[in-house]
Amino acid sequence: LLISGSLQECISAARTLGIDKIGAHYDGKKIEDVIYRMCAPPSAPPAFPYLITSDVLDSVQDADLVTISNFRKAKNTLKKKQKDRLGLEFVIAAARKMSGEGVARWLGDLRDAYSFCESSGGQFILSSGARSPSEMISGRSFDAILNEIGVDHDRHWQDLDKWLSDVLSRKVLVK
Amino acid sequence: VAERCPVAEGVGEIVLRRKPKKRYLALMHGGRDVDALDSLTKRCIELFGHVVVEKAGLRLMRSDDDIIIVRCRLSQIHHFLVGVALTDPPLVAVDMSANIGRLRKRRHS
Repeated sequence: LLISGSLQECISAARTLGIDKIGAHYDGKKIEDVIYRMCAPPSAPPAFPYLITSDVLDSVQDADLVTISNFRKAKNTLKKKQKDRLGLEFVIAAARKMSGEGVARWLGDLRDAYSFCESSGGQFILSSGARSPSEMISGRSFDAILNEIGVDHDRHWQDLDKWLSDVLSRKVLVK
Repeated sequence: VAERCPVAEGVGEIVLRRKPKKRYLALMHGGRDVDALDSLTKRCIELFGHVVVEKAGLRLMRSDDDIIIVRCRLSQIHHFLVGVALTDPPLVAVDMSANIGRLRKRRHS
């Protein structure tokens, strides 16, 4: 789950919603169970776990995860530029604004993206994109969306946990 | 008799009129309770159709400040949860229970 906004409130809300870890932009304070999003690799090793994120497909080589807004358009570029263990992130907040037809298409794209990740060694990531606790999504709703696109939610969370441990273990951190 | 010894539903067997199982969901919202339920129902209809929403039997049971308790049939709960995640303005499924009393107790504790 990757969010931005009031972090402390979101952490307590996440615990209520059955979410163990959240992702957020670094605001100068290290908080337990938060994985920080950074746009570029830090100049010196930080003291907190982080992921390098991008929403530009051309800069996937440096990124741990890339946010995809339109998978249909991005698919061809990803086929050429996809690197092993790259996370492909899809944001639910964007789908909320879509029409019923748009959401149906988006769910279809998620299904395709999951198969693409399976075949290319990438990691499928579904995020809330929340900016406040009232925009967060409960674990049950995440599971329901995963089931709707034909993904076994238990397996997905296990894969995501493994991916996260793998990616974070490769980072140099200051103790 | 039927209530005491239920049998499996199927071809050639007696089909009992059992009460469908329900779940009560506490949903956090930002506006009026009726608007929250309306937007959720509308979204579920857009995504899954009138038949599914009718089968779900959505009903507003209680409403506190920013929390509504909505009843839904268990058979359609996954559709309902997808609808909750994809509704605008946003709704958050805070808790779920088969028993409304237990849900309220948990909310207050």
